[in-house]
Amino acid sequence: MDDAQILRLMRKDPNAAMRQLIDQYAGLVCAVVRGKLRGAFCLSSDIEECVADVFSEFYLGRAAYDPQKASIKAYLCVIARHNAADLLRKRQRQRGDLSADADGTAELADDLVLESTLAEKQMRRTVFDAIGAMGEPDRSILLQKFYYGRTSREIADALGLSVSNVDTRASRALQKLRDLFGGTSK
Amino acid sequence: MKKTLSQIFDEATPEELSALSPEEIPLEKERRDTIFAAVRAKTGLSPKKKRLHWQSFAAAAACVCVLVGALAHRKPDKPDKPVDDDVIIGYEPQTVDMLLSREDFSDILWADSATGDHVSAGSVAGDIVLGTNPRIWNDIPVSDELRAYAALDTDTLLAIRIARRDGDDTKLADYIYDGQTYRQIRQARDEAYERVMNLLNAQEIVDTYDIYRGTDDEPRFWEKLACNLEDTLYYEIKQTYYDGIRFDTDALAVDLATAQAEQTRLETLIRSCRRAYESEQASLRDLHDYTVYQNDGALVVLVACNALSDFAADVLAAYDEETLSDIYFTLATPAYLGIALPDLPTSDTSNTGNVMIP
Repeated sequence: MDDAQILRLMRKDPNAAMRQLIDQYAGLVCAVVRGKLRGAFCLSSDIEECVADVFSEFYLGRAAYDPQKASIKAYLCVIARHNAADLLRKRQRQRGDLSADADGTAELADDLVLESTLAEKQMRRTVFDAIGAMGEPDRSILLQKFYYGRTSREIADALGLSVSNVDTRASRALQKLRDLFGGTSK
Repeated sequence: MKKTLSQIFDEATPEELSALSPEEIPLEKERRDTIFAAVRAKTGLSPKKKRLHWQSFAAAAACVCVLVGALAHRKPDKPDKPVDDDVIIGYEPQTVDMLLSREDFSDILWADSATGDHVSAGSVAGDIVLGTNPRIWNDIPVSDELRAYAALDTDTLLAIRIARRDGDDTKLADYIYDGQTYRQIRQARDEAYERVMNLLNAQEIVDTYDIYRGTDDEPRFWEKLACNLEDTLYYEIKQTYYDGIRFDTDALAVDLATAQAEQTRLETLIRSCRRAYESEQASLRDLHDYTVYQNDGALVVLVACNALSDFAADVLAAYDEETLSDIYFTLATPAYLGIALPDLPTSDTSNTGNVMIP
């Protein structure tokens, strides 16, 4: 069901619309949340709770959603990422974990530092354009690795590639970005 | 400016992320169901009522005729309307559906009186459209209170409903059902819920433990466990299910099943208790209303609407899906109409309860 159909259904029968949204996007939202919380020793019930919060937030704040600006999928992903970051910070505070960054974001060990003089918004747009232009499967590998936080093994299974192939492609894709923007590997 | 890719993704707006179009990932149905149940609990969403059957329309039509007759009887000095305009309370099933979904429906309905220049809330309730701000209904000024109610937006209604559902159980706290007060049953349910959650956590911990043990990193497991759980829970789980070598997963499974069964039993008890309370209150209200309004021409409307509100309370209390047709049949039952309009000529009031107006 596309966004317009879901929004129409939301006006007519919110209950059915939310069921449809969850059937369609719960896997994606779950992946985003799980990726962000990877290594934080969260229970699966925590993740499900966080995912339910994402959909509840969308439903309660649906008046603010503008379909002209973004797809529902992207909107949900952003809420998911923010909520998961909040949960991560909460967990880290409970543990008294001082090793995390000041803003609480957990970074992947093989993440890439990009250096740019562009304004933040412009930088993001350029990075996303560059990732989008990479073609498959490199685009999916970068997205899954750095957005969903999946391991190379999980990505390899999902895309039908070998683990070493995933690592090599990820490394090359990162190098391309590095060449574009400058920067170092962490 | 230096940023990691993860940080860039963190800061992305929905518009920016749309360009990347992340792919959809499937999730098991069981987990989707769990998430949907949690979302419904958090937002107060409830299933849409079923569509009406043709019999319901017949009953609804009969009911409308009764209401029309009563109102015409009540306002004889009003100018005659053309025959086409006879159905002055043309409420739509959708409007009624929306009204029924409001937990404060009953309060609002009875907040106004049928005296003076203002029309009663009951007589307007069937015709009102939520989100509007009507000042006049059929040439009669509508009370401020009722207009305020009609002007509320959906989000506010939802917030009210959630607040009521989650917090405002005070009025039935001391209501006794099955030998216990509602408060006691709720408390027992909360304790059972806590126990279920702890046991689910314990089960998750046991699963995780096996992974750590397989990698010879058991000390790290206990360290993480202590960090992530309340001290009491940590020791309780350890003491109850861990003998120093392995977890007793069988005992854990039995305890979990017992606790879940107890929680389900208490949930059912709470619903039944609420239903019994609402039903009792509705009966008392009927008696009171009849006394107050017996000399008023609007009685039929108020009684009929009261029937609606009682039914709504019942549905809401049980969080069940019911057919709207039942509501219309309730409206048109001889019992209600007999009280409301004893002199009303009827051609047939047997069996279905439908009333034919000559």
